[in-house]
Amino acid sequence: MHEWTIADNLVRLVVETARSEGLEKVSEVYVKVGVLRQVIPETLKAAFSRLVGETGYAGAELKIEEVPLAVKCRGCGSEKAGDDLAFTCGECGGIDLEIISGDELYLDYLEGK
Amino acid sequence: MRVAIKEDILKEEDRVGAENRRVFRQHGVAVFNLIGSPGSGKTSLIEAAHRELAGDLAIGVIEGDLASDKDTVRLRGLGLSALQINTGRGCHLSPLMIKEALTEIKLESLDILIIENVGNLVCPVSFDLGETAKIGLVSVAEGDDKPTKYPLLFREAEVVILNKIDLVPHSDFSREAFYSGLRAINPAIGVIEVSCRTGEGIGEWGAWLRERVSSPAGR
Repeated sequence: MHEWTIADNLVRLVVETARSEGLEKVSEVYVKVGVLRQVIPETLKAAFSRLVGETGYAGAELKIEEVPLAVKCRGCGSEKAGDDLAFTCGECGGIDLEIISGDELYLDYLEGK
Repeated sequence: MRVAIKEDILKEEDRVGAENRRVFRQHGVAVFNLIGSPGSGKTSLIEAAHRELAGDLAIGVIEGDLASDKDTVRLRGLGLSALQINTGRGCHLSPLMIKEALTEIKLESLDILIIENVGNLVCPVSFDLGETAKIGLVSVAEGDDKPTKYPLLFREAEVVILNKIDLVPHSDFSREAFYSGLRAINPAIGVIEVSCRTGEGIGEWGAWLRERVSSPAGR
């Protein structure tokens, strides 16, 4: 349910940006969400749709790109990507892993006029 | 037309969290964000910390619940300074709620502030309240699969407390399954096994808090 807080922040950001760009209508909003954020896309979309409906940009559609986890081992340098949330290096067994992607939560761009 | 933005959606929340952290550091208070399921024993764990450290280190508590002040009344009864935040339908505490609560808390009189988050293993993890460390709490009664099902908490927490270990003989809880699930998520994380009911392991919990508060990165 943290989707509601995320949607709340997102709508504020969309409205701020659209206003400063002088947009009258926002058709689509593109966000990237990493798997580590534990967001349920349908819930985020529903929350967004409801909250954006209370602004002058009602009808804007949320497009979510889900980003899988990718990690790199600081020990042996091998990289691994995928939905498997294992934080041990499959090559050398090392535990010092750098998260390359999968923790994103950002507003990428929006389409409007 | 396309407008490129590339901004963190939670940047405002994160900004307030960072601001809280500065305030905590200025006052030399170590802040722990305690995250666990409803019924895992969060309030009991705080009571136990108070008994272990009383007279030595001053603990303050912020209680996050959807409704009621039951926990706050319970803690105040023990002489703890506790402040209640009711989140209404909110499933987690936000940095802004903490910032507002700080106007009612005398940080200068505290060594430790424990923030008992809303009972939930998912939502609270995404919000940086400005804490020194997150503490993950699970209990035997919830089953041994919690790290596997809720990986992010166990990734972000600095230590995991396993409560209600007195129930192990009466349940299907497998320590082996629990630890192997946990290690896959966070191979280096420390675990303290306790029973708030029998007092087992509580000395270790108190010792962890003492050490964490006195370590250079502690406050």
